[in-house]
Amino acid sequence: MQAVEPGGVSPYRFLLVAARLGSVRRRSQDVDMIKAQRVEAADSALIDPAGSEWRSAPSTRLSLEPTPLISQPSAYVQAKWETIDYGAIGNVSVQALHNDGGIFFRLQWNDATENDDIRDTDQFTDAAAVLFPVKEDAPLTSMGSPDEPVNAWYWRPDMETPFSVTSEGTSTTIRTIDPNLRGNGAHTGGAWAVVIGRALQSAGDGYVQLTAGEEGKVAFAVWQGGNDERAGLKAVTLEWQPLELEA
Amino acid sequence: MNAKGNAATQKQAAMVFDLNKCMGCQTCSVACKTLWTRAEGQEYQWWCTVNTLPGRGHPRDWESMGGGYADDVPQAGRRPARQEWGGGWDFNYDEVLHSGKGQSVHLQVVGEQPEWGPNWDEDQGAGEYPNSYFFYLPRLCNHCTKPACVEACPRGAMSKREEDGIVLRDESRCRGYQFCLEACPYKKIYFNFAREVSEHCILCYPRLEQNVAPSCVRGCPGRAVWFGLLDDETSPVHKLVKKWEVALPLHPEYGTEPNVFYIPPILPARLNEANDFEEGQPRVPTEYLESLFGPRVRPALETLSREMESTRSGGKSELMDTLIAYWWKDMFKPFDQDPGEIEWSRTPGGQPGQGAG
Ligand code: SF4
Ligand code: SF4
Repeated sequence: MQAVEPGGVSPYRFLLVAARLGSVRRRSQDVDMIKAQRVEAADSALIDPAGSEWRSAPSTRLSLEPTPLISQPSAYVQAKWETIDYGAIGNVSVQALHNDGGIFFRLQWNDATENDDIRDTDQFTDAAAVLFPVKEDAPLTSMGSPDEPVNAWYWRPDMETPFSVTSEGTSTTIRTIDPNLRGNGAHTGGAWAVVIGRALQSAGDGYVQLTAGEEGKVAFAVWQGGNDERAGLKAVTLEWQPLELEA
Repeated sequence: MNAKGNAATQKQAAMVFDLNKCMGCQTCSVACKTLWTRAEGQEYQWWCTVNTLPGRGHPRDWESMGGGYADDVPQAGRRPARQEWGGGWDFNYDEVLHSGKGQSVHLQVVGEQPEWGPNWDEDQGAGEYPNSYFFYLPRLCNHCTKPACVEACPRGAMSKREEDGIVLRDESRCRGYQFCLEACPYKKIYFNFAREVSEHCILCYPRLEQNVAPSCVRGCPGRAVWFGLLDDETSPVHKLVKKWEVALPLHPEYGTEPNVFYIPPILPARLNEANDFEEGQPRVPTEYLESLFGPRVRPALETLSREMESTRSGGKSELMDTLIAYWWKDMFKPFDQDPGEIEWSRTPGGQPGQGAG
């Protein structure tokens, strides 16, 4: 696995400033292939972010950007966050493995503050999501469209299991419980390591179906709870990343 | 439904509180509390609160928390923290009542000690004796004509009902993101930590649908509150707000166009050193009232004084008759159905239902 950059020196602040000045964001990560290697390992080993299988799995470091302010669905949010930085997590290291039955994504990112519960109204939890198009050309920024929905697996440290979120565009997300979806996260040494996994196939309205040996697309989002991030205030990969499941 | 809520609805429910009559008895707050906010996660919620003014209010210093609009542009607001609301404390009931320590241990808050509460600075007020002054200000969601909360919600979970302008939240869409808490300049939305949704006054809409006035209105023993539809010319609410223009919204500068209105308080005049009333020297500084109710306070106070004067000298005044409220039920007609005569169904969540009161 690649070393994770120490917190505080990531280039994202510079990028935020650059964005504010109107320059185009650097998008060097756009076409990083996420390869899900096939392994002989039990689900229980793969769902563990400290599990040994992850030590040798290839890791791709993706840079994250704040979701565009213009796509925030209320004038209030646009007005307030015009002058407040959000999308504070600058990058995430992604690994993927499958065992022919299920696919598992391990996300690791630097986060000095562990926000694992909502204890007061002045905080939100950290969170992460893996997003898939349900139809191939589904738009990412708008979280899908009525004709081309998307499906996200949304993990939060205070919830037993992740939610399966289906969406047909901004503000249309619906959360469902998918019994095939699991999540497991640990915050150690100033970083989150989270595994989100699901059976390759899972029956449910608007759920993505995956098959070994095939290609697809995937995107990622991370919320910094300590920075008031929730809903559309998050750091995302602005483009779909190609995903390949080893045969 | 009125998706983003930034327009007047067909009809608008409204309330008027007379700050000259309100005696701070908290019956309205308790009537609301016992009806709507007894479930887990609602312990600290008081959808209707009555605070002493001048004072810091509930949540503490809420007027400095932002939100609302300036020139139609949404203003950033902040969410009050749990300690700024206070309330919902746990007490050592078991220890005092059931463990035989009734004589040795006193009733006290367990855990984090309170720093504030829903009625913390009661009766403190302002001014120097003998010209000290205070009055009470009941507050609830204003079911605003331009509800900043509705606009702010990225989920479209909140809306303003076309038939009466009540601002409601679809809980199946609410995700507890609390943008509404930030945007509401009156800080009249609460976060339910148990269910992780936001909650606020629903203006007793299940009662209104049966022509029963809201619980706070019917409960008031001071005949200090009127309820009705703003454009119903027979309603005292219409008369006080539109016809006589003596009922004013709180902080009109917040730009949300509230539909809860207040008759500003007129206390006795100031006493001078000879202990005589100095007519024309109001004990509550008019500038202070203007800071609360805007520039329309002066003409409203003039109208009130003029009509009081006219009845004192034997004349008749529709305004004074309305404010005196000779007939209780006239205060909220046609919402004067007796709730005790209605078969209420209990809600599945174990809420007490909309029962009597
Ligand atoms: S008082 Fe606040 S919560 Fe109520 S409608 Fe107005 S902005 Fe919304
Ligand atoms: S019940 Fe009436 S008199 Fe008592 S606090 Fe409420 S508004 Fe004032």
